[in-house]
Amino acid sequence: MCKPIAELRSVSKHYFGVTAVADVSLRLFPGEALCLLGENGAGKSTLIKILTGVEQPTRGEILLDGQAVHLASPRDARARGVATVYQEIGTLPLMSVGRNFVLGAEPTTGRGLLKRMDTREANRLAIAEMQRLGIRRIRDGGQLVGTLSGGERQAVAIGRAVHFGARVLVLDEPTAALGVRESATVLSLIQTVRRQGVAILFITHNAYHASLVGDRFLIMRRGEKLAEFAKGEKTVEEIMSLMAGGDELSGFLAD
Amino acid sequence: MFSNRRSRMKLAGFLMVVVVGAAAAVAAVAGTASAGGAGGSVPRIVFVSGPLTDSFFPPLYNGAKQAAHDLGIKFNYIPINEADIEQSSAQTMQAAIAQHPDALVVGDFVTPVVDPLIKQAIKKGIPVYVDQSGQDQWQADGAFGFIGQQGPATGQAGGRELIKDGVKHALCVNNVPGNPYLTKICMGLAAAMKAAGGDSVMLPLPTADSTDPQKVTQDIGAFLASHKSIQGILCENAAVGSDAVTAAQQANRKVHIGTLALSKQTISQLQSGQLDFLINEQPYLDGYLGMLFAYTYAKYGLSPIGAVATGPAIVDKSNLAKILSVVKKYPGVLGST
Amino acid sequence: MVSATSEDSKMAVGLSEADWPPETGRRLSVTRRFLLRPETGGFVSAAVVFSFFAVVAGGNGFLSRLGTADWVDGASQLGLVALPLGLLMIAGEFDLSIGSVVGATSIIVAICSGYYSLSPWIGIALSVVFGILVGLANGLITIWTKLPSFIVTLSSLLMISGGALGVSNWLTSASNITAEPVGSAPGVFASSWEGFDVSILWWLGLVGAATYVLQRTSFGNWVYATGGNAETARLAGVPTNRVKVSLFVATSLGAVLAGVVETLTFRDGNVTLGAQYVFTGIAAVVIGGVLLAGGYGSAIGTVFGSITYGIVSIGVFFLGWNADLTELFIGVFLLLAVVANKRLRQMAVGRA
Repeated sequence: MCKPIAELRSVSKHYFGVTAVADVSLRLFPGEALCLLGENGAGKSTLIKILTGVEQPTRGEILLDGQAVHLASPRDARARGVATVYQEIGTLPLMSVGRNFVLGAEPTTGRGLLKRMDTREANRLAIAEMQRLGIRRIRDGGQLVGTLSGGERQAVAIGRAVHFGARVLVLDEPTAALGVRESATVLSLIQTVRRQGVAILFITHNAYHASLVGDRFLIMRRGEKLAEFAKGEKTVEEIMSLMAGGDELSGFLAD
Repeated sequence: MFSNRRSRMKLAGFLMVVVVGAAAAVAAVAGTASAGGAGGSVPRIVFVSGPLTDSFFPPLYNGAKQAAHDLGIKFNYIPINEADIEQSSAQTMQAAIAQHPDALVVGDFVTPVVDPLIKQAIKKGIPVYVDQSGQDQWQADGAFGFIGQQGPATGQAGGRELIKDGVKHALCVNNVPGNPYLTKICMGLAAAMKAAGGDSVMLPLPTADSTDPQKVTQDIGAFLASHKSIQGILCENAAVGSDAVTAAQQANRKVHIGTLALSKQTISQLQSGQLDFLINEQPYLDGYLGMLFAYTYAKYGLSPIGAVATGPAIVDKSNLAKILSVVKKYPGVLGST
Repeated sequence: MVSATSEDSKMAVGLSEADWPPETGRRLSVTRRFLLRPETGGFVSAAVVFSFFAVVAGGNGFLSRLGTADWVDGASQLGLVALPLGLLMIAGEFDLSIGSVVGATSIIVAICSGYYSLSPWIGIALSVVFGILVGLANGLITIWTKLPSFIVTLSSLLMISGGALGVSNWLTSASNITAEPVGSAPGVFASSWEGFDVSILWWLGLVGAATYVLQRTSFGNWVYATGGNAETARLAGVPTNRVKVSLFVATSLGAVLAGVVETLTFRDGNVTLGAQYVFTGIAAVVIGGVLLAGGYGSAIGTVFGSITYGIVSIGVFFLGWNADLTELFIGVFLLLAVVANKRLRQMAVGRA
């Protein structure tokens, strides 16, 4: 495999006496999906906040394309190609697909005072990208996102990120609130995007979903890296047991 | 077109109601081409005056209503909103004129706004009778008469009562600043005080506060605290009068208080001695006679000449008994209950 | 945390399941899409109340030129305030201080032109500066303190109305000042033709501009996004703070314009001028289809909302019903208008 497109080296984050992340390193490669697993409170959210510019690390460095960088804000991170898709706040249900798609980077026509948003172009872009991702049902860019299913909404958010040049796509628990069919839609989206050469960081606490799309896995527990392994090296049950602190639990039950 | 035949029918029904309503509206307009002028045998009189939330006006309204009932008048009372008095005065007058009644009775509270509209009404051939407020403008506006009382006379009557109680320094509380009638009352009080060798000062209350007893009590109390020489207070409506009594009690000050307008509370305060006198503007007469004279003028061209005084009448311990019996027998005539 | 299912998201924004078409994947017909536009409900409310008063009071002058001018003028003055307020509410914020800015403006203009006999334009210029400062204060304080704008603007409402009364008493010893409008200003703001005020032209012009900005510019997209979910918008790169502050300023300036119009029309300055807009402004905006939670609505909707309120508040004067109950009637009619609005939406959606 080639050089990592993004890397966190020995990153730690302390808040007022609480250690959220302790000396964690990870590497992301283009076309590969790394699944970040762990229970609530394991430090996954904090770690990705550091990678996406929402928080600054107390120690350690962030490298993009081999260069150490300082990500001052989410906008900064996005400008450098690190995009995040969140669980439920990724899209605005009361706005159309087209408007959601181009939010923050609206295409314009005309100049000066007559500079206006090109809604037709926005809709066209949105539908084209959705079709490319395999979402065939949506044909009208003017449709409100609120009428889309959960999986389709994630498609809008993901398609948007990819279209605007994301090279690293961070997905924060994308299937956590979805049913089986919707989860399948999202997981196949991840596969499609991965095949396009984007590096994926997929955060989840669902070991089964992770096993379906992950090339490599990283399990965190209490802010530390508990285990790191590649696809096929562990079974789903072993992964779940590691996440839940299997050794400790069996220790309890042994009494 | 619709996924559900039932919902399509319902929607169609809904839209039909709207369309039919609009069609009926058009028919109504076409059918009543004589929407103006003398509408046949039943005279139509529009009465624009104060809101029923202000304790002064319910007796006025009841008087007008009674006259309409007794004389068989088609009567519409349009209350002005005191919280937004300029705009409301304009809107209510405009609505009154648009109805093209046989006569228009109006309380001219905000003269810069209402005077031009009175003139407009007269130009359109609507006779206007000015009622309760507008003592100085009605003639210039072209109204056929005025009924109510003169501010200075009312203020002087109040002054005489306070002077009888030995007051040398008086306070006049004005709850609708900008209303010339109420301002004139305070001026009348000042004149009477000055003539007796004393003085008086006016406290204007913000109009929006005037129907909030808590605010009024606070405003008066604050004034009493900062003006220790005040011995007597004249208030201009029943609610404010009661609030002044409360304020004086809270400030622990011995003050002689009199107020315009009667109410259950002020009457009982007069009984118990907390209030020294009441000035009865007799708003019931403003309403009843206002309607009566508008009616006789519209129908026969007859009305009293000039200004008709419906007050001030003084109520104190000497005639309280008669007042009490009327209040008991005819609620709503002498003041809000 | 809110789940990503479409039903829960709709609930989170204050809509019920009955307000949205089912996810059949089929394109909605043109008629349906028209009926589901945000302003259609406001239009229906206006049509329903107009029909009612036309039928019941049409013979009594409601439909005459003067009667129509009466409610149209009232709607236009309310509309000047409701329009920018509507945009601010689409962006998810409230401004209660409009109730005092109108009055404070009238004091400024009346003192300048009446008490000091200066040209009214000076008072108008001062009021504009005042409006901008109030808007900036409202916006920046809301952003810095992270308090709900409802609370922040409630305090500015009280501060401004108290301050205006204080300044008025200090300079002129009165809270009600006559303005002597001379020169060109009254013509620009207060002239009328056959009973119809020039404020109507101001209003419609601004509505056109606001619609253009909302529907056709990036800034408009940002307004909707900021109201839909400020966090999402921010993460997408939308300058939500700039959007909000601009809209607070616009709302204050709307109140200033209404204040200038009314002061020059009534030739009178009073602190309490426009105090009602706090309630009637929000009512007009909500009747017009803007969601209280933000993120949805249109500028034209506020027009229909203002018209609905104008018709109801003036129409009652033509009914000749018991005067004790005037306020009650206004409330009942507004409720009926909103109910008709919702009913239509449900039927259009096909769930009724």
